[in-house]
Amino acid sequence: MDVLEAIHRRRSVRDFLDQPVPDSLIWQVIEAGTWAPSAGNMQAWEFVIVRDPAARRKLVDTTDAGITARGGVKTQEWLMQAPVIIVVCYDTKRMGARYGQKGRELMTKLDCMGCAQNMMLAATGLGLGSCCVVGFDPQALKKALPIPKEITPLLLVAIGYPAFEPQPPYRLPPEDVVRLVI
Amino acid sequence: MRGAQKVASPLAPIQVETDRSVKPETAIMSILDQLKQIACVSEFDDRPIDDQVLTRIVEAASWTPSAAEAQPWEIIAVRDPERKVAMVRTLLDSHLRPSHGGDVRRNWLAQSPLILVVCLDHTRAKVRYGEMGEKLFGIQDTGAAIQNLRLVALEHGVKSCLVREFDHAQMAELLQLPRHVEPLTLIAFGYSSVEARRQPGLLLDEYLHYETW
Repeated sequence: MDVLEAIHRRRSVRDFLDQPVPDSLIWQVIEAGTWAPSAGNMQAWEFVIVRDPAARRKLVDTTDAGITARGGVKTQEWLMQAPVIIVVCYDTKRMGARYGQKGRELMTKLDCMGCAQNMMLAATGLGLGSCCVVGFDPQALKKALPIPKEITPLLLVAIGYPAFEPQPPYRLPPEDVVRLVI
Repeated sequence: MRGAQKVASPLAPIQVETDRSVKPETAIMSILDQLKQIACVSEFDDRPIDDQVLTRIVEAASWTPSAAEAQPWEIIAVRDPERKVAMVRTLLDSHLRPSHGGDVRRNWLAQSPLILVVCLDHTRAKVRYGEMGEKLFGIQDTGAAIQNLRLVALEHGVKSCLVREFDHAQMAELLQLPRHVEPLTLIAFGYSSVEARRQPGLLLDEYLHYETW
């Protein structure tokens, strides 16, 4: 699959088959993440891989469905189906050492988003489905799982074999989003 | 040497700042003179090192040059007597062999008021330069930081001693270090009336080469 095809085919997948993802694929996905652009090459990302159902339960309990919450269910319960959840965390120290406050507050997070995108594209290329989740409480998650104190969770990337391939949603065409050509 | 007398003595209180009117050449002399006083002193008074002095000493690390600004050092300040005793138990003998329950000749370490454990964050050290960063630059940077710590300590009348012979894994466990942080050197700090005595054995002529070897 070429890169443009992977970009176009990546969907946010929230329904997964009850089928485990081999370790080798997870490591390939992580490795793809580590090739994301990084400010000053400080590679602010660190990962926590969650597969154990009990740990996943604790993780899901820290999520927040936000405006999509229905009835009494306020968490993102669909994550319970995902065989693997990669918690993309950042370590502010490396970036902070090189860039100070802007490094800690901004660059670390930008690094992690590029990393997550790389991982999701790699997953697409490997026949996996994925979805990036930001609706959770990082501090609660740190308490719920034994995540080292020096790293902070930023994003969850759920990964598994998709139960079906969702239709692409509407996207604004480039001419609508390019505001200025100078 | 006339100007050197104006420079704050090693025993000067913390408020005293270096006299900036001193000519640079004299200041350089003074640093060299101070370096000559940095030798391991391991008989310390009971007087504790307060937080203000501790943070001044540690801040010296921030002003150490470091490859790619990685500043790969991490410093654990240990003052708890029981932990210091446990640290002594991780010491190796002078041939780097396990000393079976601690080198009794190093019991002075447990008596020192403050131990700074200077560690290397391997991830931060190698993030830009890979193996060279981890195995070479990171160690160089940390070594320079250690000397800076000792120099600033001396400025506050605090003497110090390096201890490098310890079991790294045991020390890491004792200090609950994460897997990417390795303890490299212990520096014991304290006030002492003992004069540092050290005479370099190697002469300048023996290690200084002009232009080529």
